[in-house]
Amino acid sequence: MRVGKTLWGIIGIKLFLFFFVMKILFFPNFLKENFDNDTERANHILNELTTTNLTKESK
Amino acid sequence: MEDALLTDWSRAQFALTALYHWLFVPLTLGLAFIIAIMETIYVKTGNVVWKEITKFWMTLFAINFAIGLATGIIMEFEFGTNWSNYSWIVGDIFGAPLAIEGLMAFFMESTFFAVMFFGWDKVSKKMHLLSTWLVAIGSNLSALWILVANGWMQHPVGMEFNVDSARFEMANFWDVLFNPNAYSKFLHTVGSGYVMGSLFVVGISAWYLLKGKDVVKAKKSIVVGATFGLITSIFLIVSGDESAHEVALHQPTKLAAMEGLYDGHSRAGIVAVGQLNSEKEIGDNKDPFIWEVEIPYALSFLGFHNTDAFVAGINDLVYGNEAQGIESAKSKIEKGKVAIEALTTYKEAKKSGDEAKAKTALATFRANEQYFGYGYLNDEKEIVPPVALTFYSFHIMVGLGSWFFMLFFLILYLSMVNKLDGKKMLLRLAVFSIPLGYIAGETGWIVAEVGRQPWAIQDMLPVGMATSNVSVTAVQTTFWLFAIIFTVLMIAEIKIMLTQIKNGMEAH
Repeated sequence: MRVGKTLWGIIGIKLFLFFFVMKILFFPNFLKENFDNDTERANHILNELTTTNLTKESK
Repeated sequence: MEDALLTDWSRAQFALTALYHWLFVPLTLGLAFIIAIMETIYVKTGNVVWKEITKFWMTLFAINFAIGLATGIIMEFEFGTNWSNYSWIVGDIFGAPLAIEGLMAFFMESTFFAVMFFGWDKVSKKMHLLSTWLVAIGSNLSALWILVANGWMQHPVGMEFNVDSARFEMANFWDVLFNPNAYSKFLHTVGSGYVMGSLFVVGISAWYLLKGKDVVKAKKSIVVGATFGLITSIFLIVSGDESAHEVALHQPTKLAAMEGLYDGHSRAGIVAVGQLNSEKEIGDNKDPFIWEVEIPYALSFLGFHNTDAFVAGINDLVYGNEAQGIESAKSKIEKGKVAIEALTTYKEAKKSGDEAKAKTALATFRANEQYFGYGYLNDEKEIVPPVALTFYSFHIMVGLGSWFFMLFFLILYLSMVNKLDGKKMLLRLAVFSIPLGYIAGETGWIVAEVGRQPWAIQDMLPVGMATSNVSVTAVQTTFWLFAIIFTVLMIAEIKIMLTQIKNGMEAH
């Protein structure tokens, strides 16, 4: 039974760290944060694929 | 420079999380079936010893499952933050398989896991057994959908690039699902999990036999583990052959790197063992190997199921080989740049309302679309993955896989003739082979993923174009945070597992 409690504890701490610390503080969704709708997102990606990168050294 | 550094750190972070995640997954895939087999024997025979054996391995399964739980979700976080270009571009393709994985396979696995682990004496024997089998099937179905997505990246099929939304859109779901690359990859990957589960059961049982502890249960366990391991090792060899065939057809630079093959030829042999010449460069005349032992004809046969087949080398793929109909990377890069220019023209024409110009640009884009990704490369040599890492990883994987087959065969044979007790060296080797199973699995993934560089999506999107405009410092910070978290989780898993193993099977 003790091992069960330890595992539940690890699961709880891990999920808290992943979803409430890492996700919120460090892993925002880049496209959702920076653009309001899918049209803007598509335009951003098209810009990345065309004008921005032809001059880069394999980015 | 900043962009290259960002790509490198993003890749390093993804590799770190994927490699750690893969420490937990294969044991889940393999041990689930072994437990189901053990419980089936219990239900069939009614022998309570088999129930105790099942419960013991189930506890170790639960430890691995609990600690590995959600380690894969981190990669989805990374897609959204570090790899937003890639996420957007593949969103339509990956949406369906990943949604099915989440809704069907994962929930099936989790629901029946609860019955399997907490349902002893609460449901009937047959219902409990069904739950155990459904956990095994569910966990493997989860892997199926993930590997369908990965297989598509290795060999994109069933899609069309939408120039307005900048997305690959699914044209045919069945082509994506039955992509030969996806199912050969799925079978080989789950096969490696079955072998890992078998190594785990055989190795721990061997440790009990060495210690003279729980001998009866250990002997019963080792027979199940070695039998399952032997059968699945053969399955692994067959699926590996199919996987290599797919690589030969669709990722020839990966195959050339796996074998350190610079100049292609017919009747090509496989290097069984060898040392690469570190001074060898693409296009020079130096010998690629310091020394090597080659099996004649084997590479032609492995790649194309024909001992006379021509296998392209790195030089053929970089500089082209007219006689064999192989186009040079330089030519592909030029066509790729035409495709990008056409896409740019199309976008500007649409913006200015010039439909005729947009139509012409779109036709040019479609004519060169298959080379699209090459347009982002500036040097023809960029199509070649890191040769040494791919070569050595492949050979370590194959060498260890061969050893596991022999180990299972010897253990099973000696168990059957009841002569395993005195074979201390073999039992020690069985214990030592547990970490080797993890090494084989990880090197397999290195071959699959490092070997397909520079591509995030084969021929369509190089990794450098797949990243987001985020700061390198942010990626570096989260890299180290994950390194710490995953290392702590791994230490916890090993510590809890070892405590349970030392407590013995009798405790169950």
